[in-house]
Amino acid sequence: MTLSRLAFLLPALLPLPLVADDLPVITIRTPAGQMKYDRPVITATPGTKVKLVFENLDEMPHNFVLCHPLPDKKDKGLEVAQLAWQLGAAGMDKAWIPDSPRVIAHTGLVAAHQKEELVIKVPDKPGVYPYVCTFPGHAMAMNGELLVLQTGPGFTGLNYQLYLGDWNQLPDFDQLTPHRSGPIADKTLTIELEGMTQHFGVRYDGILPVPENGEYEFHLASDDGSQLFINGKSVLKNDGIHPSSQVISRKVNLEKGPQKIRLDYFEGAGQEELYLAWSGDKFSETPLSKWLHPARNNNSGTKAEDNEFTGIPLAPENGEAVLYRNFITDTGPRGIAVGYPNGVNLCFDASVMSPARFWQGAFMDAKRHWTGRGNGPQPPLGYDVFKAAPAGQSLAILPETNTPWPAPAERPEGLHFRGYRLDAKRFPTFHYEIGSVTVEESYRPAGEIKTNDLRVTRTLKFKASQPPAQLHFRAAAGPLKAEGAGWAGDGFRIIADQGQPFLRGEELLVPVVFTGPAAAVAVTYHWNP
Amino acid sequence: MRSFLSTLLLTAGAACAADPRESDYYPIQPLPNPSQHVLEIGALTHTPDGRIFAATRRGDVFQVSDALGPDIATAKLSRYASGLHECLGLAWKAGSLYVTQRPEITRLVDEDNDGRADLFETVSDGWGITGDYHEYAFGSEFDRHGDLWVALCLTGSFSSQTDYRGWALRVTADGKTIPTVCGLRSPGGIGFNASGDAFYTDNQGPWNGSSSLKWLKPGSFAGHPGGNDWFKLTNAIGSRPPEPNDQSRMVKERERVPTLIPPAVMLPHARIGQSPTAIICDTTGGKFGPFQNQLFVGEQCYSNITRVSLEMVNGIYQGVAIPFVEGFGSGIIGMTLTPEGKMFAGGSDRGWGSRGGKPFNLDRLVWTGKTPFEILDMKATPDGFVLSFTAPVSHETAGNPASYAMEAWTWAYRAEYGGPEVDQVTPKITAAQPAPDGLSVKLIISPLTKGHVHYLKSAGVRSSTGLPLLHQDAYYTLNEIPAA
Repeated sequence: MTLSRLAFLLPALLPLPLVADDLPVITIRTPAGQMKYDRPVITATPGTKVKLVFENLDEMPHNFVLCHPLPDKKDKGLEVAQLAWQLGAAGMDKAWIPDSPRVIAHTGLVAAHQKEELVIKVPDKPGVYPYVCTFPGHAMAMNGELLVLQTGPGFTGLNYQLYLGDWNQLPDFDQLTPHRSGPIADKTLTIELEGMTQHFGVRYDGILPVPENGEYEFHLASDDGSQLFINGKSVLKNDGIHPSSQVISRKVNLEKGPQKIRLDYFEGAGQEELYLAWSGDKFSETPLSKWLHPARNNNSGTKAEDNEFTGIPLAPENGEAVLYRNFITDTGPRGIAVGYPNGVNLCFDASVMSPARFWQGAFMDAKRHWTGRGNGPQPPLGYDVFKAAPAGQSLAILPETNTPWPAPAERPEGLHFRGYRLDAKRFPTFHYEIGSVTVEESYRPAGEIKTNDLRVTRTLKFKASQPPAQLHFRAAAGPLKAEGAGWAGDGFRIIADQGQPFLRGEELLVPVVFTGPAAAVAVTYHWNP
Repeated sequence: MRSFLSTLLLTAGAACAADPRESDYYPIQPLPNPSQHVLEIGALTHTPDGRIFAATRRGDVFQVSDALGPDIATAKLSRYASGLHECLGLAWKAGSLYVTQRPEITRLVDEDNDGRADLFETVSDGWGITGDYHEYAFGSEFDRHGDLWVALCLTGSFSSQTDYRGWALRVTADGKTIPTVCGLRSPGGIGFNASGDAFYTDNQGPWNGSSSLKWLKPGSFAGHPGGNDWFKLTNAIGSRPPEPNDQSRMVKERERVPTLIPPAVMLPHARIGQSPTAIICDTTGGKFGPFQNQLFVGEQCYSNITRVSLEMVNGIYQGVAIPFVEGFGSGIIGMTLTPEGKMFAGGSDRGWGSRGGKPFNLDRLVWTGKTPFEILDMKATPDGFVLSFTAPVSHETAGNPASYAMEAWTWAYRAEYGGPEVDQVTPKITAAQPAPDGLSVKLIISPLTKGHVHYLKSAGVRSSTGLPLLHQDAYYTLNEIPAA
């Protein structure tokens, strides 16, 4: 991205709102439930200081970590966030700030509905500095860019001639006698010369020091008419009675050194406003007028480039599970994805009452379904995806030991989904029926990504007033081989915690044995390193 | 340049004197949303203790408290549930919130009273979904028997690729799911009139020349044959109806297809909207203004609300559609009206653009207590219509036939998408006879055309105090001409 491209993206970087201690203030907020910063781009001038106000409107904690860019690529700070994730259990104590030379400045971990202020020393070197939330799972969506940009020079000298009159068009000031004239002390275009608000005109003559030969762009808006001349040539004309809403721009080639700028302006009645700015290859739009155009001074208005949009990742909040019910790849249309706080994720298929996929790391990206009409299935956002068994149900009555497992059906006969209950950590227990048997199926995640020992225990509890014989639980299927206390499958290991599993061909079956009206089976799936 | 503000004020001042505006009577009040939640409203309901529930297309459910007071700024939003699948129906009963989401109707209960639901119990999932975005499920409030209704979009515009797409189902209190009406195309909302009959809105498309409000009479066929294959799964409403002939007229096909019921009220496409949605009935007993027992129909594309008054003639519903309030920030999808007379409306522009320019909205609409000068109702007579008004008319204007103009037309009934207005007629208003109290006018009209929308423009009518009608347009769907 060239600097001129940056300048286009963010026309106005100056001046930022000031506070009592005179530092420019940049406010970044985190809208609730959207996993993003409200400002994907902010700007600052090299070598200055800015005050960052980080306001967390969300229901989960976030931080703000400003990073040095990588020399050869844009990583949006994801590498720094990855280091934070690897802190594991120690991460929370360190507010998920990794020990990395890339970290320039950071907030603490800001709790829900809290804010933190931070004074940032802006790097001296112009460039694009990523910022990112390093709370595990957030970085993919919660990132942005600080554009460190130079501003251009202002007038080295500026004089005015004030005229009185009631015009509908710019008059020929050459033919008129000025009411008053003189230098403007702060060398900035201003129309507040004698407190007049109507029926006047001003001719400004200034000297602009052009830093080097090249193309520069001028931007003009006024209420009412105005005309810009450079070295005696008309460059921009915005004559007549009108509001200042439209900014007109034109590029001109200028030679290095002082250039003569003339601006003619008149005000009829009503509001009076004048905006002039310029930009170049090495600096972004720099106002030359005291009044700043609202459309050019809205630091929050800049949008990230479309092709850099990263999605709407969902993540567990506050140690609670997150649920996402939608169309998920390799799952029937009644998928219920669950993301647990330690990085275990799964998708339960409420058509067949079986987990379709397990994965670890990031949970789900909701962009496909939450933008536009939302068609099609979405794959998991994380990694190390495994399936414990091919598509189909996990429970079946097998009258004979060689009765084949039921062929996959869209909605198998006799199986009825009845919903789920969330516990205090929002972990769901799924409820369903097979025939006259009620089933409660729950998952308990364990382990950590850092120690590479993620696992999840799946427990099924059964109740039936007339227990069926030959009810079987298919805990896994596919190529399985005995390994230690359990079996190894494709991308996972499985250990039986409750029940007496046996291998039937490529199926690991657990008979459901009732004691009175109740029965239970449990297995633990481990990710295979 | 002269200040915009002063110009605006001048204009507004002038407008107030001559031309009343909707907001003088029904101002739109956006709910505060300081946490910037994404409120793509899909459904709204209210509870007896004065809470509002708002469910969203993103699958969140929010609880809104303190939203019924004089100042909307006191309203507070909190998340009640999340992780659901495109919520398009809400109903409340005895501490339980019933959410219609894409795969099922779910009963939500906050068992530990911490403000968030813990139990998500499947009430009915007795229909199919394939993964196509178009397979929306719109759920109702409870009907007079305690049943919930669900209106199921086809798979796309034309076909029904899984169970009961294109049907309306009823779900009884004991969990039975009963197929009830076939022939739906693309519902946008479902609700009940004052006597408890169910209605839904359908969108312009195949077999629907224009969007409309249709009566869900149990056992009837709503006009789109795409879902009729599912008669193979049920005999709940008898046998499969004969296919309607293509390129025909509704009034003609009614003679061939006995269960076909024409739309109760056409909502003329591109005249008052393009995508009707929620249906709610004003049963507040006057707390929401003069339109008691009438229906209010949301509109996603035009971000407005249309008012509908129904009557039953020869055993089927028909009636009039009149613009009510426009100017919402986004396309209306969900609506509710509390017994205190506070209406809530919200929606989104996602996937289908809408007026207003905002990606989503959640607004309150209140009656200021001032009665607008409006056509209160329009009813068919053997030789014309009777208009009633919310305030006395000036006899001079309302008694002059030149104060009115009428056009009539229908739409082709065809398999192709949408349809042009056809069979235009220009009825003549031969007499206009105000009642002595000035609260109604009898219009003698010739000819009346069975099956046509009769569009009445009452530009010349003034109230006894000289006001023009707030809305001059009325679209009456004349399915049946009352016998003399």
